[in-house]
Amino acid sequence: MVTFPLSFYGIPIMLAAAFIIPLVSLKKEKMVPYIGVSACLASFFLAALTFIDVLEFGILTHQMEGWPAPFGITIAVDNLSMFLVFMINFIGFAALAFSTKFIKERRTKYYSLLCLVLVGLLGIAHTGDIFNMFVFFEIMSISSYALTSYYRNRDSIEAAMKYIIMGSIATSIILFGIAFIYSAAGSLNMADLALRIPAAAGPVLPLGLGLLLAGFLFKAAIFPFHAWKPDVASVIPVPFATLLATAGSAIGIYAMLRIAFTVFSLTGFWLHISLIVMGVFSMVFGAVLALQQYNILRLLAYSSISQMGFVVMSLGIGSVNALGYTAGIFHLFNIMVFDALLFLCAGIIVYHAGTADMRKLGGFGSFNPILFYSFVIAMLSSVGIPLFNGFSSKILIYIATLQTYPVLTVISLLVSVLTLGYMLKVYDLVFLGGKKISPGRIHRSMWIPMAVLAAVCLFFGVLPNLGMAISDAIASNLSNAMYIMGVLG
Amino acid sequence: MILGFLPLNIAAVLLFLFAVMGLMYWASRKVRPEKKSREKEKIYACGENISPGRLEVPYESFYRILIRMFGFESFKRWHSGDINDYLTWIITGMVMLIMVLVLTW
Repeated sequence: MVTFPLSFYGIPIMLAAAFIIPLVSLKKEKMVPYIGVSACLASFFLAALTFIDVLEFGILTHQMEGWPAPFGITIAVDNLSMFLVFMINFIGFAALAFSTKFIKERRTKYYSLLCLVLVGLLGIAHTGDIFNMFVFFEIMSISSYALTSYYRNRDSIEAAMKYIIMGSIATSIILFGIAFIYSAAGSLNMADLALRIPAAAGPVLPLGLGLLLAGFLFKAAIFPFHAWKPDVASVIPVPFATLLATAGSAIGIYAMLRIAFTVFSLTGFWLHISLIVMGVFSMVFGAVLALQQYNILRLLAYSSISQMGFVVMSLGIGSVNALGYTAGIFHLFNIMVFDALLFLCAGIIVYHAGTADMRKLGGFGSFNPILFYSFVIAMLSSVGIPLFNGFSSKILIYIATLQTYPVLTVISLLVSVLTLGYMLKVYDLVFLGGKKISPGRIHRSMWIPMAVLAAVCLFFGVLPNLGMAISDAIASNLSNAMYIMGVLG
Repeated sequence: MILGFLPLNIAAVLLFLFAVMGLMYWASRKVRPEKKSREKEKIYACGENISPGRLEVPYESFYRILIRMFGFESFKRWHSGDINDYLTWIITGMVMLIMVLVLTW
């Protein structure tokens, strides 16, 4: 029987890659992208193997150096965390592979920092205690701040400064939350906390929880903590924007779920109302603001906020109707796939046109069929058109809302119409338009990740049952009993 | 029941409809006359000939009208790009979330 989560080795592998890259670049700079890509590929395979084990055994844990929980450092992966680990590696691999041609300057720093971002993301999903979660959040955030200023122009430096200030406030809020929870419950291990919290009393616990949730919702860019995302996503290298907009936001949602459901076992009325309100505002704000953008990357960042709103709203409904959890988790998976595909398509456009301003673009429909069909697939998926993966999860969201609060179904449908509006705007301005562009080739390191993502969109659109079964398995394990037993024995 | 079958059924029905549509399109190509008349290729409305340029949708104006009609511009004002505004959003959101949790604990 397998007990050790092999996917954990992904963290030292990516960390080693981050430090080997600068050394190798001294001798042979050409090798730099291949080290990053190979490391992520190895991590991806380990994650795939562990995901299969976790689906079979439920939870895999490991105590570092044999120190028992809650004293030692706990590594614990269940269905939810392995789903995230698998997706982080998948999107990370696509982003790193896409970067090999996209990134031409300062490759050493770029790849080294991107590997560190992946270390942070993987660490958050693996850890079993809240302080290590904070540490990994910091690793991810600090690497992200540095990558934000990658282009060293006025816009990127301004965005990096904003991101540092707001991100530092968010991480301070998380740290305060951890301190309050530790002072009230006396532990940092999540499973141990889940046992101690029902006995702990006083206003410090909800205060700590509120601070933690606010910090995590900032990382997920959920309304009203979302404002940093479009500013950052529009000035950073597109492959990194792909990772940040998908896995970066998803990890915030994961941390929120882990704390709210595993540690605090919260299913109360007001928490679910708060999640629904924040989700609905994210959906509407994101879609309305996306409609007004002319920068394709900004538009996609707002689109990503809007789509994450669907997830949060659906998870909020989950407290009343369990279908909400399944729908939310399945939509999270689908968003990560079609948003990554949209960003990669935008990457090719920016790479070839040299601008992200849609008013200066046009005629890309005749540029390359892979780009055109990939974009159309991603566009139809994000709108929620049948036969594409976005529909498979949105139909579940519509059903879940219809069974609980029908007004949310109407809002969801209206937001989907707005999604169609801004996606058609991109289609009109970028792919049709008056300009004529002669057909061109796309490097295989760029089209292969796109083709794989497009195939996944189609696969889960036509055959959604596998995705729904996995999402259902994850949703049914959200309660903390199994997690506590797995960690504490 | 919903989880297991609904999206798959919808996908199957749509695929079937697409197949029927394709079949009808193929059949219509078979039965259409070989020679096209010149009049058929002209764009006309209410007896007037129209140039293809006039039929193009003015997308720019379309989105501007959509944005103005629903007052969407006001949303943009709240996203000024000013860090003070963004921090106000964060602090307001955090205080409200904490208040909800503390008052309903």
